[in-house]
Amino acid sequence: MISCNTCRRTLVTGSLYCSECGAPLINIIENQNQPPAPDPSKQNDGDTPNDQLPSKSVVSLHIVDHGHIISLTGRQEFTLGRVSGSQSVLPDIDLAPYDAYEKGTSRLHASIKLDGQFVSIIDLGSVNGTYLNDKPIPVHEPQALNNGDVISLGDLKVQILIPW
Amino acid sequence: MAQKPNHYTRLNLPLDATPEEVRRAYREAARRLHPDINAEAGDTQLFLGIQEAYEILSDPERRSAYDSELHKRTGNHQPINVNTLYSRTKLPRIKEPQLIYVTITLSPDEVDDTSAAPPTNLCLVIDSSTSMQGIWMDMVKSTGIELARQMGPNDILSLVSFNDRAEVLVSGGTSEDYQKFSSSIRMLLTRGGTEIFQGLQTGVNLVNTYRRKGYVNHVILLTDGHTYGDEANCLELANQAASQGIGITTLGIGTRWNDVFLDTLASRTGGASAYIRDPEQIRTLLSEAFNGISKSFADNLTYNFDTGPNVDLKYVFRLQPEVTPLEIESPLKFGHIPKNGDCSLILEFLIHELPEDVNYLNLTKGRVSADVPNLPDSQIEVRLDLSREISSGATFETPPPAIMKAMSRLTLYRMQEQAQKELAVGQVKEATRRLQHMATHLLSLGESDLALAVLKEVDNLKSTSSLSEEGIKRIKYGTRSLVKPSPG
Repeated sequence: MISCNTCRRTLVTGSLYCSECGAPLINIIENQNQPPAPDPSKQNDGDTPNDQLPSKSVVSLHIVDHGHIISLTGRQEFTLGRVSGSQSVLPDIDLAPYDAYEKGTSRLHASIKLDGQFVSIIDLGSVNGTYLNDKPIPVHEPQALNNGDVISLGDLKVQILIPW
Repeated sequence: MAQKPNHYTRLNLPLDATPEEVRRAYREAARRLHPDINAEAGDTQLFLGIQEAYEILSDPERRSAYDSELHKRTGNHQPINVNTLYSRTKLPRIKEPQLIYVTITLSPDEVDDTSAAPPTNLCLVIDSSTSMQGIWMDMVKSTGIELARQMGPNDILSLVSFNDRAEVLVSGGTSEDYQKFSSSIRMLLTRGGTEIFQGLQTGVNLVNTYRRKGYVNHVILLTDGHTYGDEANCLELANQAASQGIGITTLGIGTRWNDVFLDTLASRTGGASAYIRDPEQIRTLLSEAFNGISKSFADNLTYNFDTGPNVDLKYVFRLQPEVTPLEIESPLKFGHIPKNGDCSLILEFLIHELPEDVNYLNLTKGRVSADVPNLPDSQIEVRLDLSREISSGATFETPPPAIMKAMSRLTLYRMQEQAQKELAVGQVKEATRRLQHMATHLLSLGESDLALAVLKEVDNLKSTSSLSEEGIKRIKYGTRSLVKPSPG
C-alpha cells in the first residue's frame, strides 16, 4: 500500500493519482514500510547494486508557480519538456500541466543529469532558452546545479532541491 | 501451396504468435527433429531451419526486423497498428494488491488521404416532444437539412422523429432525396412526451434494413428528456444493435435528461455521448457526430478477451477519438478508428495477488476484430495480449508521461463519478470535500470556468444537500472533455 502525501489516505500500490483528493502520487516511493521479503534461495552475494538512495535523499523539482514537487527517481537522466499531441520523442518529465506551453517551454527543453553527488543541467537547444538564477546558460553545455537554484525553462520557473 | 517457407511457416506459427507460442512450437519441433533422436535424411536440415527460426523469432529486436523484411517481401501486412504502453515496465512481486495502467492505441498502418471515406448508413432519430419547441427545434432542423445536403453519392440516411410514438420521415434516403429530407424536416411538429424506445427501435430497424458490407452503420439519437419505464428495453436494444455492428451515438439536449442512461446506451455499442448545453452547440456537436462517424478507417472495433488469473479489469476509458467511459466487459465494444487519427483506450487493472511461481503475468489475452470497409474482405482480426514480467524487489520508475497526463485528467472525471455515488448514499460531507479538491485542481489547470461550476455546486450541496441537474452535466462532460489529449 502507499499513502497520499496530501490527504494521507491509503491507496493500492501502483496508483498514480490519489482517488480521494486527486494529488499525484508518483513522487512517493512504494513499499517504504515493507521491504520485499528476503529470498532465502538468493543470499546476498555482496554485489547487489546499491545506487538507490533512500527516499530522503532524492533530488526533486519544485514548480515554483504551482507549488508541486516532482521527485527524480528511477534513472540518472531526466529530460524536461512538454507533451503535445503526437510528438515522437516524449520528455521524461512532462511540464504541460504547469502551463509550459504558455510559458514558452520547448517540447524537449533541457535535461537534468544525476551523477553521484553531482547534479547538472543541459539546455537541449530550446527555442526560448534556459536560465540559471536568471542568467542564460549556453546550449548543449552542462551546468552544475546547487540546492535552491532556480532554473527557468522559457518563463517556467523550477527550483532544484538537492538534499545533501 | 506455392508459399515460400519462412521462419513462421517452419515453426507452423501465425504471424502474430506470442513469445510463449514461439517457445512451445520450437520445443515441440525440436523434440521431433532432434538429430540425436531422429537421423532420417533431411531431418538435420529441417532441424537447423527451426533452430534458426527460433533464434530470430524469440529475440524481439531481430523478430521485428525480420517481420518488416517479410512484409516487404510478401506485401502482406496488418492494416492496423496496435501500440501499448504500460504504467510500469515490470510488476513488483509484492504480497498485496496492485494497480497497473495500460494504454492501447490503434491507428491505420498507412495514413491515406486519397481514398474516399466509406459510405455511411445512418439514421437520425429526433426527439420531437413538446419541450423541444422553439429555438432548440429550429437549430435541429437547420442542422439536419444541412447534413442532408452534405451527403455523399453512396450514403444512406434515414430520418425518424419520436415523442410518445415514432414516425419515419425518410426511409433509406440518398443524396437525390434532398428535397424530401428538407421538406419533411421543415414540417416537423413538436408535441407529446419522450419515449426513447419508440424512436430508437425504429431507428435501429431502419439502419438494419439498409445495412450492408463496406458501410458504416450508425444511429444518432437526439433527445432532451427523461424516458419513463423503457430504459431496460432500450439497453437491450443497444446490445442487439451492437451485435449487428450498429453503433449508437447519443446527444442530450438541455438539462432534463438522464446522463447515466444515455452514456450507457452509447457505450454498449462503442458509440459516443455528448451534452448540448445551449442551442448554439447543436450545429457543432451534431456535425461533429456525423463527421466522426463518416470519416472512419475501421469501425465496430471489438476486443474479445479473457483476463488473467487474479486480474480484474476495473475501468476502461476511451481517450480518442471520442472521450467516453466504456463498459467493462468482454467483448468490449470500443468504436472506430478515424481515417487520419488514432483510437486509444486507457485500462486500469487490479491484480489481487501475484501467483508465487511465475515470472510472467497475462493481464488479458484475446483478439481485436474490426470492420475495415476499404479492405477486400472488410474484416480483420488482430491478436492483443497484455502482459508483464514480474520482478522481485521494489521498482522505482516514472510512468510514461502520456499515461500520467491522461490519468491526471481522468482522476478528476472519476472524482466527479465518486462524488455522485457518495451523494446517492447520503454522504454529503465526503462528496463536498471531493468537489472542493476537484475545484482546486481545475484552477491549477487553468480551467477556471469549470472550477467555478464545481464551486457553485459545492454551495448547492451546502444549502440543499444535492446538485443541480445542470451542474452535474457540466462537471461530468466538462471534466470528461479535459481527458482528450490536446492536439498537435
